[in-house]
Amino acid sequence: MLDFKYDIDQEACIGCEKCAEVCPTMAIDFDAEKRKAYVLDIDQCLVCHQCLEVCPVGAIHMSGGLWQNDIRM
Amino acid sequence: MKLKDARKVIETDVLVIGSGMAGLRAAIEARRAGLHVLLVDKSLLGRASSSIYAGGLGLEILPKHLPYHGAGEKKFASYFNGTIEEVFKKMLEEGVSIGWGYPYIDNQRILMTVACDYKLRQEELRDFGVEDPYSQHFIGRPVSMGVPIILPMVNHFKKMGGATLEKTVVTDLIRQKDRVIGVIGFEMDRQRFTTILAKATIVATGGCAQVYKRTYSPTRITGDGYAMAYRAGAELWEMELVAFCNWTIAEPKCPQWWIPFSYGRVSGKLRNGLGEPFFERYAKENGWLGPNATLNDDDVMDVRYGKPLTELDHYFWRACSMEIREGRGDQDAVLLDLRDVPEDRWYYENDGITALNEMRNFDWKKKPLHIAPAAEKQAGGIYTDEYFKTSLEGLYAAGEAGPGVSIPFCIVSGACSGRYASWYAREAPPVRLRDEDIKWIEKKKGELQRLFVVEPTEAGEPRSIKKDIKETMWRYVGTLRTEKELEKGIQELNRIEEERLPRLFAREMRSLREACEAANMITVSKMIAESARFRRESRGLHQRLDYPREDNLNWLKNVILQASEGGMRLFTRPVELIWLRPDRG
Repeated sequence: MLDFKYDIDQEACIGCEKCAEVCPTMAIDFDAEKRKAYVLDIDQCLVCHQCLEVCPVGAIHMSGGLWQNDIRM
Repeated sequence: MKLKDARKVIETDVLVIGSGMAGLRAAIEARRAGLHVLLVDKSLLGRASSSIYAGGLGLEILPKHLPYHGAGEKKFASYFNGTIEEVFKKMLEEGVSIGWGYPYIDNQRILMTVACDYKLRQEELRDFGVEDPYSQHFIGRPVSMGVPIILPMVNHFKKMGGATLEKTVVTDLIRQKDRVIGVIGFEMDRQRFTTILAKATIVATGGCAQVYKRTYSPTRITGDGYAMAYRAGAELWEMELVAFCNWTIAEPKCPQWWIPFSYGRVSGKLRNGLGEPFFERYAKENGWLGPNATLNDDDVMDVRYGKPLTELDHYFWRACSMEIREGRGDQDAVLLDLRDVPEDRWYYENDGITALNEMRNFDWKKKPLHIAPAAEKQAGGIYTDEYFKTSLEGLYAAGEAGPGVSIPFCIVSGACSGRYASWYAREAPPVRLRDEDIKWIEKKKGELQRLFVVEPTEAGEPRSIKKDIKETMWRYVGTLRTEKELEKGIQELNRIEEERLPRLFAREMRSLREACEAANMITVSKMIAESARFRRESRGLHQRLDYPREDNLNWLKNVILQASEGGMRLFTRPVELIWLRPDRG
């Protein structure tokens, strides 16, 4: 069993909204007042890695779970 | 908050709304024709929908050598690999390419275009930097399978000198007499109201599966294109045909994600809440079994039931919905038992189930998995002719927003609509705003601005309105429909529209977009419900419990829907049976 962890580093986040834009399931939302992205509902995460791909500052940390590179045939 | 005004009106030859597979393909094609092209997306370019879903291209045109689809792999893998006539016939009868299951009421000219063209269009993807259009290298990505296709296309379009606008929400089409001359909307980042004038406009906004509670479509798929075309007075067709996918996870605390066609999955057993097999019962009653069905649980599904998986998939969701409806489900779901699947059948072991559930502490090797149907895509859409031109001058539609659905259809309709739209734009008279257009634009801008002024209340919260629509649609306009439920559904939708829509509010740009989406979702939901009530038969995706038969005598025609002064106007149009007609009826 994998221990899946997901976290957005609030200090590193520059509030570009990109991760919240690409998230297909609204697992990530954007707080317009604080100008920070936050995890709304991690249960909805599909582990599609799109947020990791678009984050310009690497504020998103994901560990555990299968990486897409690992599971390519 | 106040919307600023853009400094000037943007002008372009061809405007493409939506940057999924169809929109990108259309934009590239129009740019190839040498015109100025502007590609607009309400989210990030290419990231909204197709990045997640273009895996369909891999599944539908899968290379034959992969032992991927079980014993029937040849039949399934070669779905699109026959001669043009064979592919055309299959698409028309099963409706898989364009409509995913509405036999014989497709536009045969469009189907023929897809059958003739899809191979060329797929190979052509290499020209846009897509490494492998046959998608072997992304088999194994459980999700976001479309990324290797979509992102090269985005880059290619930019390299060609195409203009793009990200995070720009188009709210309405500007109509001048019978012609669409552009759009209005707002740019989220610059917080300003924008007017875009275009000689030709292509709507490629995708479907509307988010109107359902159970769906695995991305959050932004809210049917904006349908709603704005409807408001502009364009014709829409076959909105009742929503495709449902049976193989969607219904576990609590787990996303509603679909389970890919893997060797392991097709070896599983379907059970109801009481642990009994049920599919066989429905299959026998309705004649769904093939002549060589073994009905042996150890065989993979296509051998067990004697039919190719693509065809069986039309029946699985019906049987499962029926079982759940009759109260024999478990927590509104049925069970897929994968415990006895032998290890060697998990040839393709890194599929979606594995990747998703291992990280959620869910072991499908120990207990059965809850699955239930979920809305997948909209088979109907904006009505077009075989040139992908809508009923309005200068307005074209491609992909799921257009008359069909599926990735082969998206690449073909994208390419064709891009080409035809650019021919039109080249010849068309220049566009100019008249005084009454400016007045109308000011009015629309006022309506958007008003959303910031409305007192925020619970009833006007865009997300809660969305949730209400989703619940209502799932409950009353779901997989199996009856007159009574549909009427109740329409009443409920009207109630939401009358009571809650006027109280809709927005705080900032993101919630302004959500508010626009919520309003569009109501319009689209009503279209689906009204069309579903109108078609009094069962055909493919549209299953009515009170009219369970396919009625070729009375209903071999298209349901067309259009806005009129008195509200929604529905009428039928005969289907042109050009090359093939049904054997019976």
